[in-house]
Amino acid sequence: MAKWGMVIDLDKCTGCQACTTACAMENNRLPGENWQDVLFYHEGTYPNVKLMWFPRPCMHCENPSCVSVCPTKATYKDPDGGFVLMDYNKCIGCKYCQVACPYGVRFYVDEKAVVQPDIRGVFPSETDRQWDPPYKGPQDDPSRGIGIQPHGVVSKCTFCYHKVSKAPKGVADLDEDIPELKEYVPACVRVCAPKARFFGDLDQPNSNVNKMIADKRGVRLKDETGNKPQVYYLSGGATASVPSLRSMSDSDKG
Amino acid sequence: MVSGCVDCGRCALACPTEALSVPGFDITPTTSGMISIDCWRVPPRHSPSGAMRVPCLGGLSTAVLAELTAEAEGRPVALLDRGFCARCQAGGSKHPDAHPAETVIDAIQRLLEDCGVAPTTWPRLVALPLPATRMVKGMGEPLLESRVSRRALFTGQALRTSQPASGPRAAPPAQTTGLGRQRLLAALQRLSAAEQPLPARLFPSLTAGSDCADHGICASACPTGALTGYADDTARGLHFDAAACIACDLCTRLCPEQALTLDGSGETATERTPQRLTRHAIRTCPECGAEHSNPEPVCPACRRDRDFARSAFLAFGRQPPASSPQPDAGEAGS
Repeated sequence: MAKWGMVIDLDKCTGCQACTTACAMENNRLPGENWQDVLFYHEGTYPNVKLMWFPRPCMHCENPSCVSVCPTKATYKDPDGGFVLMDYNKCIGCKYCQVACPYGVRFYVDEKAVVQPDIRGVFPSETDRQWDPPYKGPQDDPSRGIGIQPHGVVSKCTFCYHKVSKAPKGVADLDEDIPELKEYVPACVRVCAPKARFFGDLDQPNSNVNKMIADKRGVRLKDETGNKPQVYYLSGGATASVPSLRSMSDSDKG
Repeated sequence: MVSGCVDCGRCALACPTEALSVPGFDITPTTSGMISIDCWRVPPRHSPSGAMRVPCLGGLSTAVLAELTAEAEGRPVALLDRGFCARCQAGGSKHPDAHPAETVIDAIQRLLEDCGVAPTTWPRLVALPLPATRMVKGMGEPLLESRVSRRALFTGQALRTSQPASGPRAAPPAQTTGLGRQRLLAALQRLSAAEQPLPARLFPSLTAGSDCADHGICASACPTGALTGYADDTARGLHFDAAACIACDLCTRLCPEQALTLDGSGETATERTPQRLTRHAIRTCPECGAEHSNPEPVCPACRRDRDFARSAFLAFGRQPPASSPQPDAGEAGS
């Protein structure tokens, strides 16, 4: 049984939002309601301002607090790959999970549209789905939260379950550079232009992701919550290659 | 109503939004003689002639008693205490020491005293004992077994939720909130001496401190609509109507910033007309362009994202850049 995990190298991330766009296309997300986002913010005040950014997908925790609080067991930990998935058929839209998630990566979209005008009016749906986009992903699995989000439920990143779960058994790393594996790579990883994202099996000691976590001291966010994320972040070591971090690491040396 | 209900009307009395109403309490006084109120469980032939009969004396509200006192024009209003309330299934047996109407009578007597009404006309309990064997049975059976179990209730709700909503939603019923309160104030105004203001205890004082972050949780929770939100072109904030406030304390308990102070004792002077309590200028978030009324420049959503990302960078042992000689306005406001 695999335990899929992601490694994001913050020193390589350029904040280009290709991952966000790929996620939106892959999963038919409403504009602005992407399961994966790069957070941009400013440090300091003009004229001493730094633009900072931080990519944030679902952490697919080993011990997810969203699963603990779900009153209907609609969100669950998939035992085969370690995915945290949503069952749209069971969700009652109570949003407990949104409150419980320390990372803010759960989405309830039945409120005012983030991006105006509301595209749901442009492509109205005649079913219980939020909208009916002209292009739809071929996969649709409400019991795993894959497909266009229905009304009245919470949705979340699936780690591209519909791709990853079809990967050959026993493969350690899903690397988009290997032609026979690239179809199984999550959308955000596959499009990452600076190759800041890596995806692999955390249960296989020799996988590339495990090596990177060990060699570059991978960090899990908010580890004090006990959620044990399966997404690791890398940063530090030598001088940061990201301009926004470079001066920080320089000042660290002093 | 489930079949276990005994129509005592105390749920309607306790409901702060006046969403519940129980029939039988709309009574008008007789034109002559003493005004007495009797219980439905007293056989009619034992009631004094001209007595008004209600399902339970414990279901009478201060508004009804104040109106009766105003209508009575000097005649005393007597609530007949038959002495068997402790054995009545309408909850009296749960509190055998006190008559169910005692709390309401205390409240109305205090209000009438403040209004300067002569004590001889105050509503009061009058003991007129009757053997408990005469109590009328059959006002409803305590059919506990027919009540909906908790599991069945939630299962039913879950099934209903999973069905897609069909057709337009039914229009909500006409607004009833605050009607009882308005009736109480009007009756007390009639009873008060001319030019004398109503007692201060009826107008709780609510103040908002500088910690208020305009979440609007208090306004959304207010059961009587005394506290509402307003928004105009340049600002938004809270609007408070002391005349509608019942000092339930829900707003102060729910406020995440603990910015509200409520005084229901009448000791703090307060405006009795609707007032604007707070004013937060609307500004545009420099990160996302959304309009918000947060005290700091960025909107609450961007602030949460920023704090998350900042804490993530801290996980790598990296402090935020200290190169900025000016204080960070965003930090100062948080």
